[in-house]
Amino acid sequence: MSYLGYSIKFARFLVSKTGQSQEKEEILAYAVEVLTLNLLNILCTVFLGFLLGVLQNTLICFFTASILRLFAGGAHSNSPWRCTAITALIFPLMGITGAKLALLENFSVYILLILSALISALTLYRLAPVDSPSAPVISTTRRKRLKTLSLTALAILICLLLIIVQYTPAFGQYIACFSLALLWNAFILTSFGHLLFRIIDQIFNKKRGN
Amino acid sequence: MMKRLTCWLLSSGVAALVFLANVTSASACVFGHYQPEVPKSLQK
Repeated sequence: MSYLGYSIKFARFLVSKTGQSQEKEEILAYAVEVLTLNLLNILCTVFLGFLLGVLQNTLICFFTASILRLFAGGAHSNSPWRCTAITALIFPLMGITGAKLALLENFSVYILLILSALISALTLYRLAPVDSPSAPVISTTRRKRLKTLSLTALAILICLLLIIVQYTPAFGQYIACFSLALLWNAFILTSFGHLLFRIIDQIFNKKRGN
Repeated sequence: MMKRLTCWLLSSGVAALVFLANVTSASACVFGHYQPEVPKSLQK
C-alpha cells in the first residue's frame, strides 16, 4: 500500500474495531486518503478565493473543472501537497483573470465561451478519458462510457451556465471564469499539461534533493 | 448501550468509506490534481 501514514493508521483502526477483512484495509485507506485530500483541496481553494475577494468566480472555476475531471481525467502531480498548492492557487487565479477579462473593452466573453467550448469538446472527444498509472481505466466499455459522460457533462454545464447568467448582473465574469476552467481542463488532458506537471514535480524534487 | 452505538457508528463509517472508494474508482480520477493508487480489487 502506498498511502499516507494517517490513512493506513485510520484504516487499520477501523478494520480492528469492526472485524473487517484485511482486503478491506487497503480500500479504506484509499477512501480516507481521497476524502481528506479532497476536503483539504476544497478548503484551501475556498479560503484563498475568499481572501482574494473572488470566491464566486473561484467556485465556478473549481466546480466546472472538477466535474469534467471526474469523467475526463487529466494530468496529476505525484505529491498530494503539491496538488493542494496547485489546486488552491490555480482556481482563485482563474477567478481573478476572469474578473479582469470581463472588464476589458472590445472583448466579448461570448466569443471566449464559444471558442473554449469548441476546444474543450474537441479535446474531450479526442483524448478523454486520460487515466494515470495509479488509476488505470482498463475496460474499453468503461473508457467509452467515460468519454460519453465527459461530453454530456460539458453540454449540461454549458446549459447550466446559460441559465445562471440570465439571473445575475455579473454574467460576464461568470462566463469568462467558466471558459477559463474549460481551457484549463482541456490543457491538462494534453501532453503539454502532463509536461507542466512533470516540470513542477521535477523542480520540487530537485529542491528536496539538494 | 454505548458500546453498541460506537460499533454501529464505526460500521456505518466503514460502509460510507467503501461506497466512496467504489464511486471514486468508477470515475476517471478524483477532482484534485493528485491521484492516490486505486486498490487492485477496485480497478476496472
